[in-house]
Amino acid sequence: MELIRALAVLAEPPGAETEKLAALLELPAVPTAATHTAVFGFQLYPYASVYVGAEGMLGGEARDRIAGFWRVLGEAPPPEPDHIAVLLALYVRLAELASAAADPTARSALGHARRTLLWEHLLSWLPVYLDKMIEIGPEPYRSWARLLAATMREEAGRDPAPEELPLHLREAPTLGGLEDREALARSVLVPVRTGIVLTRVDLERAARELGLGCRAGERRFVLAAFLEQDPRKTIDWLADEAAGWAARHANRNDESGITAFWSDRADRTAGTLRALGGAQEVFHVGDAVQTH
Amino acid sequence: MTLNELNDRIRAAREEVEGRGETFYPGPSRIHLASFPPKERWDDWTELESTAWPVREERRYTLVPTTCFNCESACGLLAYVDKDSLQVRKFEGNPEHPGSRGRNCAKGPATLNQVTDPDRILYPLKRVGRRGEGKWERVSWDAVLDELAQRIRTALGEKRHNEIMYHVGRPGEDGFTERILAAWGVDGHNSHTNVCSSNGRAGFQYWMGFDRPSPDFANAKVIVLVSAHLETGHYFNPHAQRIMEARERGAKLVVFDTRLSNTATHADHWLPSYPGSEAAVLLAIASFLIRERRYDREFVRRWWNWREYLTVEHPDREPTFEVFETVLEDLYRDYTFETAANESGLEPAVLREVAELVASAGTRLATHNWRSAAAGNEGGWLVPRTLFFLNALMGAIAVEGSTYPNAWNKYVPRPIYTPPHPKIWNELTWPEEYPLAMNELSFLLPHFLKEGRGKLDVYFTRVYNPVWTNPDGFSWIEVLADEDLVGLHVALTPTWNETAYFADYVLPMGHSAERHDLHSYETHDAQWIGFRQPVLRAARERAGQPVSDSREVNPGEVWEENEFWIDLTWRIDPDGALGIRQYVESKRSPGSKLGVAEYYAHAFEHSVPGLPERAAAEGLTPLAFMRRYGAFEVEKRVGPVYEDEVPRGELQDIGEDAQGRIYTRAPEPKTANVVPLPSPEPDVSGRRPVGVRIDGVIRRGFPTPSGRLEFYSRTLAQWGWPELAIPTYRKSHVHPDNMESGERVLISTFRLPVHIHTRSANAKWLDEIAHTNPLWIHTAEAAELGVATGDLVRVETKIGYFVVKAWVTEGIRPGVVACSHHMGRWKLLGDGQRQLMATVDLAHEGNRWGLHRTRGVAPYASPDPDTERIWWTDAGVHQNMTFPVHPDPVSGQHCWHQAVRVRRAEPGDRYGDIAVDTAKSSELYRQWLAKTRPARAVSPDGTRRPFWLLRPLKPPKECYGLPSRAAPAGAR
Repeated sequence: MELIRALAVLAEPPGAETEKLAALLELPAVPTAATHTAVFGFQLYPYASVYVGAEGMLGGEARDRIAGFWRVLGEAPPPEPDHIAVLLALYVRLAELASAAADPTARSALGHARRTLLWEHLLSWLPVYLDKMIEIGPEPYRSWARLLAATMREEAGRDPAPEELPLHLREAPTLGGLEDREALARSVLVPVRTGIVLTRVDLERAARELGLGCRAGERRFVLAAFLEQDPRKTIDWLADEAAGWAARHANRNDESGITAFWSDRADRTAGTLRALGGAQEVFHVGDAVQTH
Repeated sequence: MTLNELNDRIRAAREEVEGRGETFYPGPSRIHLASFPPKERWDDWTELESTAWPVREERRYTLVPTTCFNCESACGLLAYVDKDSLQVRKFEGNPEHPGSRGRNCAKGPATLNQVTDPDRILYPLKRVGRRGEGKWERVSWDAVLDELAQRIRTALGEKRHNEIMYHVGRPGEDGFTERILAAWGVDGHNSHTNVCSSNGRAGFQYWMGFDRPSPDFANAKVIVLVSAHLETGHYFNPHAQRIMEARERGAKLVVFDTRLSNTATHADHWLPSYPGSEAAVLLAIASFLIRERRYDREFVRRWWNWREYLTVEHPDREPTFEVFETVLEDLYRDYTFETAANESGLEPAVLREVAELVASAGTRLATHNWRSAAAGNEGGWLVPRTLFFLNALMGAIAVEGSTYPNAWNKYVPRPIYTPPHPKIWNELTWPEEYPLAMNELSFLLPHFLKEGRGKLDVYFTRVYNPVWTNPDGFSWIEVLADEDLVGLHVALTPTWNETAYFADYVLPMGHSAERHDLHSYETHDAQWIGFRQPVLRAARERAGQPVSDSREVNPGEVWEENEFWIDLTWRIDPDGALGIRQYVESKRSPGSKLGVAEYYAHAFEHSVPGLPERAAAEGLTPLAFMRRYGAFEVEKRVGPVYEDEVPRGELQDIGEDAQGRIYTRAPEPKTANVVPLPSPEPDVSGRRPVGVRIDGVIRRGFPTPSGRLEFYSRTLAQWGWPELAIPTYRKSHVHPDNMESGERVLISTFRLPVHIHTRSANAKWLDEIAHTNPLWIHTAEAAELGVATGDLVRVETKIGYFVVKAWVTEGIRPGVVACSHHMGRWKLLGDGQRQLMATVDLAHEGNRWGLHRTRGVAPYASPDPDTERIWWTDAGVHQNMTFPVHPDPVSGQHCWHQAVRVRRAEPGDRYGDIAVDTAKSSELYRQWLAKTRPARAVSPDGTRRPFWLLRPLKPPKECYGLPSRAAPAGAR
């Protein structure tokens, strides 16, 4: 459990202590404020609500569910209850409390809470997140992600998977917003709807691959601009990405149903986008990207 | 490396680091909330200098903990001492302090202003003109100490012990000065408590013996406050943060406050009840719980003294619990929501909702009242008595989320010496008229002196300002100016105050960062100690420069009190002939004076369980540990001590009374924790009370005469107040029935959140935030008077009037006006604090006094450039001077609410004008004195006072007998 706590701390803004932790874990580089900001502030936001929320944004119902989990435990939710570091630290704390509990009932209840946290609020999104981090993250965060992914796999292996999917996933809506560019851009950027994680790095790659102008702005704005410049090429590119993600998810190969959910989402997204791209007219004439 | 190996490696590293007492996972972490400098770096901490921005200029600090000296919470502070200049640059929170947990209100950081105040008193001063004339000369500490010692020695030699008096605001350290006075054999302790919390204390005391509550807010489900506790009040910072934690978890907050205070704005139920009606509302809730059988019957059966009540009050009925329940329901049947609504002006439906809420709390009901309604009303002590009634009904006492007795959440280490209490009784402070007074009748002192009940030869006012703080300030001026009544007045104060102008000596005392004190307060269910220390002394010692006297490091010749008292005591009895010197003599080096280092080292080494071991684990002595961290948690989660079974070893030749009170001949075990406790009397065979039999088991119980929670107070019944022996409601002196036509209630008891009584005028940051105290007046009433916000109004009390600005608001109920007492500081020409004191003229003709502001606050040149940036001119209005004394006939507390008339100011009235006739003050004093039931008339056993009650200095039992004479000795 100490390893998980250390990995949680490494997701925090770095200081002298994280440097020592990185050395202890033999990470190939020292965490710096610049790298941390570049990764966690601009590419892969370290909050569960971004990945399992219906809006793909911070907060909302997904964060409320996690805050509710804290309340059920009798604890006041911290200001950012769905931050990766907070979730991992809580996981460790529950495990420690369970192992220290003398009363079997309390131990059992704490153990149940730990398993619930693991399957509902960590494994529901963290493997996808770490997969992407391993792909695009600079060191030491790429190695950090590998370590954390391996650790979480080991944790998942300790307990049988629940029969039901996590509530976040059961309640997740599918890709929508096919009626205009703005809505599509917004919807495609919601991981739990689409099964894909699109970062700024990916959009820059799309611009290069498609020969499109990459406008400066938030991801939705950039993507909507692509759709305005060349909707068909952009939609085809997105469909290819989704197909790629479907295979990636399938490769993670677990029996919980969570992987299957993400893979299925990506597969359906690919299909929907291909159908949209193959249509005679992609968007109505005159539909323009809203820039305000 | 495998994951397991990595895990082990991290764990080993963590254990190694934490084994050194250092922090492994610091940083601004969401995980550890550790946004504080890691403690292992406190010796050498580097920060960027904020004033140098944008240049990145590094400053090196040594961080030294102390505790705040502003309000009574004693929150932890961390002084940032610049390593180059050895000056304190700022104060922040001390994360190691269990009460405040690193958080502070505005007053904590503003300590810096007080330390650097250009107007502070730096040297001992001696009066050179008439008293009050404002002329001073600098004198040496030696000269002062020699004169004081000589004078006190002479008084003791001539058996004039009662002419020595020490009058204190909030104490610096639990029991320190009491022990000094005890060493002198003087019953001269005079606290401010009867203008503060006596009514609050009395209500709790008559239930459980302990006189203070300790709510476990953080774990409560329902919180009921009769106070503005989220913004001000005892331990409000430690309490407020825990109240908010509970609210975040879904706890409900009920607030009684006539004003829409900051606290009321956070309430789920705000109950702006008519002042003085609170007990009626609380009894209606209690009645509901009883009628609906929503209380914890088993708890009531086990722990209340219902059997005693039935035996005394219903001797004809069978003493069974079922009969008691029937009687209980009858007793409170008439306290309906409708009756309470009539008294309070609240809606019956709202009261029912609140009652339902209370009923839903189970044992997680945390309640609190300290001043507020208790301090405002005659009979105000019935507010906490009826509030705690709810806890007693719900079994919400000393279990998680409930209210605890303070003494179980407080730790006072046994000091190096505990001199016996004086064998003398001081009737100037404990007069016969008030046998049940919670504390000294301090605010009646001018009247007692004028009546010839005694005189003072040496009178210390210590960080206390009765002229400004107490009601009837002009009567104080009259006696302080009279050298026949007060022979020598010594003001011990860090900063100028209104009382100090009428002193013979003004002696500069240290602020938070300049003095030692040891505290423990009931902030939550735990016991902790906090250590206040001269931070520059600790900083120098870290740098290898020993310091033996705080004057070596403090500004000017500012001294700490402990060293002052030890030195003075030594000089009173230099050769030990009086038996006094032994209490200030070093044990390490007999024959020499005790130093504060030895004094605290002794306590930390011998009287704080766990501290020596904790310190040793870090390679420190206990004193060094406390100097480094400033606090130590002795015990967490103390729990319901009353349920503890009394150990067999304490049960020798036991006796048992009819109610199950158990007495023993076994001596009382000596404890390291010397927190003051009531002392229920022994049985007729001289055996001490040790517990109470509950369902066949002898449990510790409560320190009350019965050993149980006293629904029925034998003490009140036997000492003249049988009608108040059970929780009841009594109409306040400001009840509409007791008011004349055209009168309104004036509430003056509330604080301004960033100020603290007389202590904070010398904090420029706080002064800038708050510097006025307008009269809150309801919109409709303002319209009737033709008054708008900012207009001058005249507020007439029974003895005079004051002129203040109106603040028209919907935030107060009609029929009531309010003005905070936290303002209206003034100075005469000459010395004074210029940032929040207006300059005034005092006019005096016979009994008639007037105070007129001649100049408001203004910018001035000083070593602090900020004083030239002062933009405010206001300093508020001093209303307390226009209040007559209102001593509660039972508790002795001054009842602050005033019946006043408000009208538009007259032509010629100026802001801040005050007029008072002290002849009327005397008349009002006599009217209230006539309400008392003196010991001579009601004492059941010929004593002055029930021996079991707390008393700061407690003479032995033989001093309790009523003297045979009609008038006290020493009368003029």
